Amino acid sequence: MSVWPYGSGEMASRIRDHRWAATPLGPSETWSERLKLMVEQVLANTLVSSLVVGPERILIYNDAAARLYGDRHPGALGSPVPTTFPDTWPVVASLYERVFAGESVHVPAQPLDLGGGEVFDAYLTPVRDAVGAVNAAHMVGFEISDRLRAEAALRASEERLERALEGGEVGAWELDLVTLEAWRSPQHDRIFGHETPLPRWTYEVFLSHVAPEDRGWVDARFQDAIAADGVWSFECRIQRVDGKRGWIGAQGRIDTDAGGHVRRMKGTVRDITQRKLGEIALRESEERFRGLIEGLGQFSWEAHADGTIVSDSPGWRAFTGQSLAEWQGYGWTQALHPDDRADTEGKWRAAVAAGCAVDAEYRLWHAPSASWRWSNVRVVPITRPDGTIRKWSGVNIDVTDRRTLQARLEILVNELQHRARNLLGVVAAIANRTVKRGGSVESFEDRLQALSRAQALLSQGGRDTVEVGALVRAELAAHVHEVSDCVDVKGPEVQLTARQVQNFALALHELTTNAVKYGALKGDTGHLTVTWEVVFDRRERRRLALTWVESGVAVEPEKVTRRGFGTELIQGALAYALQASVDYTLGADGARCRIEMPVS
Amino acid sequence: MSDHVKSLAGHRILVVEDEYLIAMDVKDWLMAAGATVVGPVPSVDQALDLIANDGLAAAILDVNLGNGDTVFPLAAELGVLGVPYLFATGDVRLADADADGDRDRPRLTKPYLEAELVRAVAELISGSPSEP
Repeated sequence: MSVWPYGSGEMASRIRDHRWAATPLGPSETWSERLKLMVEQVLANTLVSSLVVGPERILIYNDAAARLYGDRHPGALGSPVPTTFPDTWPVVASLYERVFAGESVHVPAQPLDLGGGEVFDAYLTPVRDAVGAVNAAHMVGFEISDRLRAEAALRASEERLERALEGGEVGAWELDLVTLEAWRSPQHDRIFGHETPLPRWTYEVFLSHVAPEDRGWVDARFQDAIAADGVWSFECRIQRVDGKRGWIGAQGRIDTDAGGHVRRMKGTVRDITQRKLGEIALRESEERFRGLIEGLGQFSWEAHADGTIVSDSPGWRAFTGQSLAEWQGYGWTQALHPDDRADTEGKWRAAVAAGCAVDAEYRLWHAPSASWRWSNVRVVPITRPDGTIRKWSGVNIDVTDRRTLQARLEILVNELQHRARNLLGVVAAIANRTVKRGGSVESFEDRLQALSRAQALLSQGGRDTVEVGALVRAELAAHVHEVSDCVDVKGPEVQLTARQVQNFALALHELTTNAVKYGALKGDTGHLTVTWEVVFDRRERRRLALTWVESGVAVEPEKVTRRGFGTELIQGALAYALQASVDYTLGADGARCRIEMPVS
Repeated sequence: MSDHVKSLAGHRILVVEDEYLIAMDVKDWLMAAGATVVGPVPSVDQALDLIANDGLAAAILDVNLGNGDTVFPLAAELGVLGVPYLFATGDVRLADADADGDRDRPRLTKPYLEAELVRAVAELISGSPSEP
């Protein structure tokens, strides 16, 4: 029984007890001191360690190796390696040759056929005898399958990260918080609009890309994150190199090294422009939609088969401001205009009793604008297969605008009717007078044409008013065929109502016809000046003051002294219909007329 | 048209009409039939000044008096005073009649002829349809 090797470990014990005499090594007592020292070193090592001795490659190993070898242990002890590891040996045989030739060899990542996917990383060194010949190989190594797996996992993870960064338009960055210089992934600079990465990137460079209106608070948050060792996370607007604006989302986290000294911030940045624009568009669209629905005043509601309101209608309550308790049962009638209540309730009860659909219009209280609005409701019964009514379903639509429009249209049509008929009356009156006072058909037609011109001007503007200047110029243009120096027309823009236009046009026509027949527009010597202005009476009311001055006329008194229909139109009609004051005189030089009348 | 032989002789008739030429025609026709014309005036305000006097036998009222004004406030006054009146209108229907009573008043649609007008006024005064 051997006492060597010393030690309490399993392998020490096994080596002591092994029948070395049966091996090429012979009894352990015969081993050289050098060999025995190596065995002791192997046993003392916590790493996997072994000796491969002699040409037979006899294996001596330690406890760590024993665990690694699994069920090949303890048979492996004292046996040749080729015998114990027949599948692995061919691969490593040549390596051991080199060791026995005196070389130190690293056997990297050697898969071991031990059933558990083990991978072994080994360092082999030659052991020499007293005369320097190599008689053993010393092996120290690690089972590295875990490490390999970790490395492979890391590599895969890095590849995934790269793919994610590329595809997801995400850039990674690391900022040295002392120098403020940053490392970035290739995608990073592209997010800010640089097709090729800039030669260097610093915090200042980043900040210069941030939109001016956001720079302040982004920097403030950065400073806070550094001070608090916290997280820097935000979304802000950027202005890219090409001027285009966008949105980015970024986050960074402080990374302190083991010594707590050099601090870095590591993070990512993403281009979120599309999402942001989408959010903004969605929000605006939702607001428009909500405004539209609320603006439409459209909502639905349901009633029990017996006609009472039971279930809630948020739309009704939002419109009328009633609470659920207030509108249930027959409480909804309280939201109707008092004048419409009785009628509508009566209609509803009748419809419920008869079981048929009903249509109604009534004024409904609109809480948001605190006003009554016209609402059109249509309610239909929802029947069961057997024909009995299960419930009533109603839809309300706001028809206030429609009714207002309709009312306006009615008024307009009425007005047109009225005017047309009045016009006929006027034409008849003109015809009558012209004939009675011996006037010609031609002068009658002339007056009609003046009326017609006035009507045309009225319908042209679409505004139901005519500007004084337009009226004057239109009437003069109808009689003065050439633009001549003998006429001056000047005045500010003053609008006349439809009522004023007709009488004014007739008066202008008379003045013009007289000027053509007897006055300034007859020969070459005459001159006509038509001017007007806005004046204010003692009660600050606006008045139009128009002056018609003819000059350079050889007046023939006998032709114009009699008071004709024309003069009656000028003075009588204006005074009667428009409360105008008319001052018409026939001076030595030509006719002068001053018309003053209220205008709005 | 002296065929009527001054059928309105001795009566005072109020004329409210905002269109000058029509107002002048109505005045001429009524005077030719022997009536005394109160007015014509183009507005309710001016008319109110005139009806304070007694002795109106009838009134001819143009419905639409310009600037969106209607003659109905005046009609109400005349109703209170017991003066019969008719509406002369360019409208085919009286949509804005304020009082129910107005809907039943006689009316003439424009344009109307002298004979129509004189007959209508004569009927107003007598309170019953007269011989044509």
